[in-house]
Order: sequence, then structure tokens, then C-alpha cells
Amino acid sequence: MDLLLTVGVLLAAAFAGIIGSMFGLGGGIIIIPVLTLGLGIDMKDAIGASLIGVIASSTGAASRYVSEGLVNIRLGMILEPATTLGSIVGAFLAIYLEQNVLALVFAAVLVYSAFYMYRRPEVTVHARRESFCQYLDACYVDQRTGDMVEYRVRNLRRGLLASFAAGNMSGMLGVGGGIVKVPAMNVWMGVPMRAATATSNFMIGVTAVAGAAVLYVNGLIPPVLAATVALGVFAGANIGPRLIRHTAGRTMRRYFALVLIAISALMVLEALGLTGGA
Amino acid sequence: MEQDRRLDRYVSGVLHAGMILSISVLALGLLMFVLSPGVETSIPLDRLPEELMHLSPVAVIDLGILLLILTPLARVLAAAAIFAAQRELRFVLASLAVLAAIALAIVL
Repeated sequence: MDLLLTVGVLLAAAFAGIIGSMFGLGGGIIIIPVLTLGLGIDMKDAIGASLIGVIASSTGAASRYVSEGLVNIRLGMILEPATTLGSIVGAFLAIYLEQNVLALVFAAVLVYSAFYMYRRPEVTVHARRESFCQYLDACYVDQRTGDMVEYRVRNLRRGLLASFAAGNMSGMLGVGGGIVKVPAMNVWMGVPMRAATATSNFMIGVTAVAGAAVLYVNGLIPPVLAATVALGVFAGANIGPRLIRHTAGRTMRRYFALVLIAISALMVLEALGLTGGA
Repeated sequence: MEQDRRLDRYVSGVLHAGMILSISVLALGLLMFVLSPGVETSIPLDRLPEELMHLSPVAVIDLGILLLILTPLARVLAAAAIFAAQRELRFVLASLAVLAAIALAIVL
């Protein structure tokens, strides 16, 4: 890797790390298009490096968010078997499906999510209570106001389904899947936005491990590229949480909807780039 | 509602340690690589210890990547241990399910 490319990768990774750690994403959906379309790196190499980047982003962001009490660890760990299974299934399906078709389908899902999130207000209530969900009830201290925020988690089954789908996305596209998990937790499960993004950051490390481990033992992770991505992402993931420390959940939702739209545009570009370039 | 601070502290500690460890090894490996560049292909796991003894830069980088991959798994284990100690069996089961799924993925 020459110097110019290295700098490009570091900057892209740092940016992905910042955005990812702010919004509960792994950064993969930013890293892959930038590496492949922007820097001309091979898709197979990009996917391996991206998964490593997602683990870095998750580890960096979550170490901070967990210590701040924002992460609903129990909820995350209940959803993880679903995302891990989804990731394995997704990887298998990817063998039989065209990458650019997958990218387009997911882009459509993201646009739908964006409008849904933008228009529906956040509803943190004590609605239908599944008895199991009582163990997932949590609270955190809002750093902006200094208040304690309590919430009940609901609709666990829908959450598990969404987690499985997020895992699929991870296995098929080499991303973290956070872009699906955050809306699912926030809109369906009643998790306040700041807790949803933090919990998503926490979870995606495990989602990415399934894919990363398989690639690693098969020698498919390009070492120098992955290491550079990881270091850049770690840097970004340590900056991101500081940037949104005092942002209100409501504002985060609006920003998140914009991020969703931007990323679906990126995915459409990627899909077109794949058909055009291949 | 009481926050489960003990769980938070342990999990955050494991993640932080994993982060510091992998950053250090990755940075060291990349530095070594810059000083003596070589072929950029990854080293198979069974050859890794041998290559590390020979101070191969790519081997150090590969070790860093391995440590990074192991960090979330270490987190799952640490959390499982605390759940077991607190008799929260559902979460112990969930943790074991995740580890089993990942082991399955590698084997397949």
C-alpha cells in the first residue's frame, strides 16, 4: 500500500469511526463504498477490512458507552444469538445472490426506515408487557439534563426478527447491520434513541465476529489494509461519543434519518458501481 | 431503578483492555511493516507462532487482528460469568448460544 492510499484509507476509516460511534453503526456501510469506489480497492479485500473495522468501532465506542451506563447489555445479549445466526445465513445466501441486487434491496429498506423514523415520534411507554421484557428494563442518566431516564423494553419478538435481518445484512454485505438495529430498537422496542445507538454499537462487534472469524481462518483478511482501517476507526470511535454527549435523543433521530438516506444513496451508488465496474 | 454498575464496569473493562491491546499490537506491526516492507498476504494460523518468532511484520499485524476478533468473544465470556454468578440463566444461555454459533460458523 503506498502512502497516498494509506492516508486515504486512514481518513475514510476515521470518518466511518466517528459517524458509526455517534449513530450506532459499525462504519462498514461507509468504508466499503469509499474503499471500492473511491480508492479502487478490490471488493473482497474491502469486505474483510470492513468487518475488522466494525469490530474496532464497536469495541471503541462500546467501551465508553458501557462505562457511561447507556448500553442495555441484557437486551444486546438477548438479541445477539439472532444477529449471529443471521450473519451466518446471510453469508451463505450471499453465495447465491448478486451483490448489487442485495445492495439495492437494502437501500430500499433503508429509505423506508428513514421516512418511518422521521415521521413517527419516539414512544417510550409502558405498553404491552411481555413478562420476559421486564428483565430488560433499564435506565440511564441523560448527560445533557442530568436526569435519570427509565424505559421498558417491548416487542422482543419483533426485535429478534429485526436482529436476524441485521445479521443477514452483515453476512451479505460485510457491514455491521446497526443501520437496521437502531430503528428496530428505537421504534419497535421502545428504547430511547441514545440508549438504542449505544446498545447497537455494543452488539455489532459480535455480529461482525462471525464473518470476520470465518474470513480470518481462511486467510481472506488483508493484513495491512485491515490494520490501517482498524487504527483509523479506533481513532474515530473515540471522538464520536464525545461529539454527541450533549445531543438530545429527538435531535439524534432526525440526524439518524438523514444518515439513513445518505447511506441508501451510497448503497445505490455502490450497486451501480458494481454493475458498471464488473 | 438501580443500575447494574458491576456488570457495566467489568464489560467496559474487558472492551477497553481489548482495545488497548489490539491497537498496540496493530500499531507495532504496521510500524515494523513500514520499516521492512514485504508481501502483504496473511499468514495461516498454524504458521503464525513460527513467523512471530522470526519477527515477521505481517505476523505481528495478524496477531493484532486476531486479538481484535477475540475481544468481543472475551466480552461475551466475561458477561456470561457475571450472569452466572447472579443466577441470570437466560443470559448465560444467550451467551453460550452466541459462542456456539460462531464456533459453528468457523467449522462449516
